[in-house]
Amino acid sequence: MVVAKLQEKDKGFLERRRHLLRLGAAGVPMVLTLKASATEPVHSALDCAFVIPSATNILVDVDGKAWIGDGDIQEKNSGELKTSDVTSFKQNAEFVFPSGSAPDQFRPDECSTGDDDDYWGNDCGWGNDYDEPTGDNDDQGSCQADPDRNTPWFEEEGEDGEPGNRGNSYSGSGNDYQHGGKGKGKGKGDDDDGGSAWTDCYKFYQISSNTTISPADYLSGNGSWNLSGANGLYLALAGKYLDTYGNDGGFPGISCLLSILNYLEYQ
Amino acid sequence: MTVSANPNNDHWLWGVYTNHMVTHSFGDTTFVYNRQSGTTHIFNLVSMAMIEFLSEKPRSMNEIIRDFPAYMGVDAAECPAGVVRRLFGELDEIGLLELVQS
Repeated sequence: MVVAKLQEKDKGFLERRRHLLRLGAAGVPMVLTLKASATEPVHSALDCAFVIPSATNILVDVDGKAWIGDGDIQEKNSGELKTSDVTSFKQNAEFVFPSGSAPDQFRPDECSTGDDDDYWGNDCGWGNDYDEPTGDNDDQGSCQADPDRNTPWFEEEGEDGEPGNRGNSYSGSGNDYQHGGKGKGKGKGDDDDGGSAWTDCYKFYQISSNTTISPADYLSGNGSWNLSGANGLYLALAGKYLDTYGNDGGFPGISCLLSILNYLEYQ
Repeated sequence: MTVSANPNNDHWLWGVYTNHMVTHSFGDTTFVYNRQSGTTHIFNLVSMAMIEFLSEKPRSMNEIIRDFPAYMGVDAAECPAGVVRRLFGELDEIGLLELVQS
């Protein structure tokens, strides 16, 4: 009898098996067969995890625009954020994602205090100006052209997508102004120069340093992505980054996420 | 005689061709060489647990579905019948399951 004995059922061991069972429920095979052309087992792609090395905070506005940085923002129990902190955070953000990047569930429910997006004006978003929804964005100077929209969970309106539909998530060519820089004006309240000290036009998410994220944990039993919490938002934005810049290594976790998406795409 | 697990009958008992297997584990991953087919397979903790589960004694499909979650140390909801059936099918497809009694 050459079958190995059952390994010790410590907590970590059970958790790893639970993780694999979730993958199994998502349709991932539990047995792989080596072929002459195989250079590496594909399971490693699905089991990957990555570590957020330092504290990472994410700010999201009502349009789904997002900023990632390490700055802090004071927050009331009501969820309102200190306006000056918001401004500072945006100015010092390491990554800025255009409108429509953060799925709906991560955006603030309302924006009654107004925001200061007019300060940022045309946000070089993916897509075109609000006033020119069908044109190109060449007039935006340093702005990038529209990227491919391949990441599965970025259906229109930010709905979760099906991993298997990666190539079909977007039917347009990138000119739908929902994804463009709207250059949003002021809300009902005041902006920075006016002096509203607190704003409800943003939501703030925090990820502590050395947080480990396993993208496969966000695969639901039916094979779709179920993104929630700060880590889920991070994955959503990582997917956006991937669509735009590819796997350039500048965004923690991109390689891991890419390997999973590529694997699921060919299932 | 080769008998496929699909279609299956509830009273059929299934075991594992342990004599056909050469295994070597690296952490959570086990390489399984099938002497009969000459093919090497990569098993994870779940597929390896199924091999060990069926190596203990032959079981019917209903017993496998009922008892495998507890063997894994998880609730039945975490190890649904569909996953068990699919895993069973994967093992059958690579020729490691033996119909012990029909």
